[in-house]
Amino acid sequence: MNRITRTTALAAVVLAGATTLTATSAEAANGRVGVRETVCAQDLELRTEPLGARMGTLHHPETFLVERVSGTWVYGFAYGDINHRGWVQDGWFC
Amino acid sequence: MTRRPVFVLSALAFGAALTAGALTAGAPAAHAVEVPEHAVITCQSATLYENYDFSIPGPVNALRTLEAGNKVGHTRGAHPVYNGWASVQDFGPNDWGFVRIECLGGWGSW
Repeated sequence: MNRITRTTALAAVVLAGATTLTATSAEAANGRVGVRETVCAQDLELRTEPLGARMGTLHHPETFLVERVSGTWVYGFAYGDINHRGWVQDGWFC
Repeated sequence: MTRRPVFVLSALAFGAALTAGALTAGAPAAHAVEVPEHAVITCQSATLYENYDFSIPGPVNALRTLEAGNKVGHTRGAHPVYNGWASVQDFGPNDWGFVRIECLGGWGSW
């Protein structure tokens, strides 16, 4: 009985942790084509291509005009400290 | 009695998979990127800037001053160089910025 209680409690903790992390990541939103989105992430790397070389770092509340979406990456113009086009990981806009 | 542990292990594995998935999704630009080519700073001192602002154009947001011998990473031909400012990884704090390309040398020396 004790063993069942312990294992059930452990499973509950793991699942609760997963739910919490998912809820946290769900606070940020995906980019919309044609919209000048506000960067929600503290640091968001601008890259030459998806998973490519770093071109710079965007910070909240700098803005990014989304021009194209490709999978989990978006291409567009980074305003603020960079003022150039590049790719960022999607899902980090407010 | 013999099935219960299997269910528990399955639940734990499911939970762990969810956690791993959430962590992956929650890490901005945290995907594995190839380790850049190793180099060292060859100038007596070189300012590392966070970004290169194309509207100036020029580097902005000075992060720190690097000294001769400091280890940095920059893959020639792959990492951007804008008007002589090269994108580098500072292997000290392990962050990225821009330094003058002429201050990079000692390729593959470490």
